[in-house]
Amino acid sequence: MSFALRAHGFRRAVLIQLVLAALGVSVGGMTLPFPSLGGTGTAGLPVPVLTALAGSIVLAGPSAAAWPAARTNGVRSASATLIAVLGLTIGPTALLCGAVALLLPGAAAADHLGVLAWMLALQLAVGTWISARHQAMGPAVYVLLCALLGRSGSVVQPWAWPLADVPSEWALVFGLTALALALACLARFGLHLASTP
Amino acid sequence: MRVPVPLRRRPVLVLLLPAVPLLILVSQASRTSDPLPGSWTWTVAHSVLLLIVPAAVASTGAALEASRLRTRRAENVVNTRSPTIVLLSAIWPSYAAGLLLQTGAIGLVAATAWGGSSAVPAGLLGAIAALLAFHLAAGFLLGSLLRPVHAAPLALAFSYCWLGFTGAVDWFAPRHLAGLVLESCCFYDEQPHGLAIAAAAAFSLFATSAFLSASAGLLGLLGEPRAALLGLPSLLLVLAVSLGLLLARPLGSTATQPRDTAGLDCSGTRIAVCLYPEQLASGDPRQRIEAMVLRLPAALGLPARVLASRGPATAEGLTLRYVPGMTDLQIAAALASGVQGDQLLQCSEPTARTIAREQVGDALRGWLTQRMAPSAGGESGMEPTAAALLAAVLRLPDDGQLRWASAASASLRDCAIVPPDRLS
Repeated sequence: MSFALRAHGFRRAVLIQLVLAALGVSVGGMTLPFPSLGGTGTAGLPVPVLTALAGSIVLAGPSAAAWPAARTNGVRSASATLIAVLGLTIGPTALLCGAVALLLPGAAAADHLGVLAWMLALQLAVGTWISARHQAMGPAVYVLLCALLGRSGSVVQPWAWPLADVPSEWALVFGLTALALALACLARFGLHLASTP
Repeated sequence: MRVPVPLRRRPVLVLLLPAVPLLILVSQASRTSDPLPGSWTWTVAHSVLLLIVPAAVASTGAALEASRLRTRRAENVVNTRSPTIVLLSAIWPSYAAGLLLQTGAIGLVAATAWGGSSAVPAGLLGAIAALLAFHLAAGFLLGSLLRPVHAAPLALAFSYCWLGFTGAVDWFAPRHLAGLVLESCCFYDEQPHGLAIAAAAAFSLFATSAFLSASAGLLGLLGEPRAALLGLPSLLLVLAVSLGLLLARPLGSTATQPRDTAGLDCSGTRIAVCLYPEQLASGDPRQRIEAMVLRLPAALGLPARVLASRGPATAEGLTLRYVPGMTDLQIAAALASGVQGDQLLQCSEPTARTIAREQVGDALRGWLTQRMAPSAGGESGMEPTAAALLAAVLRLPDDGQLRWASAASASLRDCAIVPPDRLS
């Protein structure tokens, strides 16, 4: 595990995660104007969605690189290693968000953490079932769909919940539940290696 | 010599599978404005809104192709094939997929606005092809710089952000460089602004050259991998941005300009009704329109001409926002709006009087509509107070109605005139 942490850039990922979390929490209430086809003009994307997307994409490279090149008897231990390393990478971010949430209850710390967990769950699902190398396409396509089709008038579609102003605790519960399921799948099946090119 | 990668192993083929249903979904979601049948200009321009999907596919596919070449950088340096051939061989499937999807997008838009014999807008099609090339080149550059695990999602994100974010900011010039603003073109009385097409095409082509030459350098196709990051690509990019902004500078928030009225086809005995040929493709409504206008009381002032336009009435005549397939009621309502004028009078007066003026305006529009299309039924969607006022006016004798209409019309043009009540 310490080799995985050293060799595949997880330490750098920890720093980037912390910076993204700080950014997401500090400007959590801001939305960036992006056009929405189903919404009212430029309804915008909340900043925590974009910082969480960036956070999950940052983890895609090290996760794919840390996985063994072929499925072997070591797959189970590889899964455990990857899950532990992912936990250690997100851990400081979770601590930071937790501390901010306790000190400043109105901040978007739990939102960022919940959406990050949700994005990671999508990414790991793609990595497990479709392609480890292209796992980051999962959250990227999801955010694109949310931006384009996530709103119908002023109503946010249920599947695009990160765009809605959901209570922080619900965002956290939903994101962490999805992440737990994705990690369970990862532990059971491992990352999918067959991919193009 | 390396054998080119066969088509069946190109990653863009995999991307096409989700792209087709996504294109249909986006097409359904973007179907908000009324289609303009018979106008290929509108059809092609409106399909630019769907460019989000083909551009994403071209960009992501190119990023994956570049990643493949990136892993073989050492081979690229000693490759005997021309760098241009290697680049073209890598990018053509993604570009072809983008063009194919955009053709499908035009087809999806045309399905709601088929017919007519207007010319196909070659300039718009050229600009769309250039925009797709830009997205493709940007994705290719990202694939040359980054590993595929990062390059593909970033290419997808860049493609959408460039199209979307530039369309949402208040500085208009980048909108014209990104090209999504071409979607705002064109009602029948408008045509694409040549500068908007030139800005999008020129910026895209020069930026494409910059990105591809930088990619060729990064991938080792030009021998020395790092030197190409500066020099020619930077110069081309600066040229692309400068030229694009220079061309886009005089433009406003849309990419349209008024169409030459010489193209109008006029007909009529007492009143000339002038429409564009595309508006006549599915039947000639001019006699019907003339008959409607002739039902207006002469006391209100009959126009000499009715012109196809979305603008306010001018000294040349009454304007009509005519779309083929409109019912008599819709035509009458559009003519009534033209008679009344779209611009609401701004008066410094008590709020109650402003409300009364607006209600009189609504009632007058309903009265004009009923006068022009008596058999088509009443206009719906009117506020209850205005509807009650209209009903009261309609109960008056004919000369009383005319007096009320004249007074109401005058009150909508001059703040000094008090809006009439129903008994005057």
